[in-house]
Amino acid sequence: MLILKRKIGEELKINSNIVLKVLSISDNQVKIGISAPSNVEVYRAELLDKVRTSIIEASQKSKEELAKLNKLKINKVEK
Amino acid sequence: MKIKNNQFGEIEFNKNSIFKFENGLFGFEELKEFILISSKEELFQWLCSIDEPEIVFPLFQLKAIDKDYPVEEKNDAFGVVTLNSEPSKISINLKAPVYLNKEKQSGRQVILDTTKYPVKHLLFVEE
Repeated sequence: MLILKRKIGEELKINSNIVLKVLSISDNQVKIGISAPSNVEVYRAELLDKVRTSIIEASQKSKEELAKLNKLKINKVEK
Repeated sequence: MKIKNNQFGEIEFNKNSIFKFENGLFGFEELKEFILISSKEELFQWLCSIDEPEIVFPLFQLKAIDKDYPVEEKNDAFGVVTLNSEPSKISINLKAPVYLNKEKQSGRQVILDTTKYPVKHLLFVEE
């Protein structure tokens, strides 16, 4: 892993079109600004892992036997 | 064109009905082409990989769960469903919708940057 030290307000460039900027630092949190073209996907790593795991589980369970579902009530998102 | 899998047997489809996913799905980034299988009697629609026909994802229309669910123009938003033999344990992923554009026959999955929608939302309520 490449490790670089940066101060508040300083930037890193990845290729010519992605910029990471250190905006602020507190005790155990760093605020990072990211400028990138819209086709670059930026995600919090732990969230991406959670989504991946969920989609993989969905594909594995896609063959589960299903009971009659038509009479069940859909759980709508509350306002 | 034809593919075959255990769940649906032989599936015949038109080349024009293929949905192209440039980035695949999360966890399945290498799968780029899918067809959508639907039948009137069924609650779910099924997104079936053409490259690996045994890989199938049950989908459910998100507007039926939340009429304010974020949609993109000319796209339908679907949630990937995790089935279970016990209906009360069936969940749907509201965090990472699959958008299908039926005009362009393209699809993509995104992660919404909001805390409103969880990865696991139980699909049914007990009465």
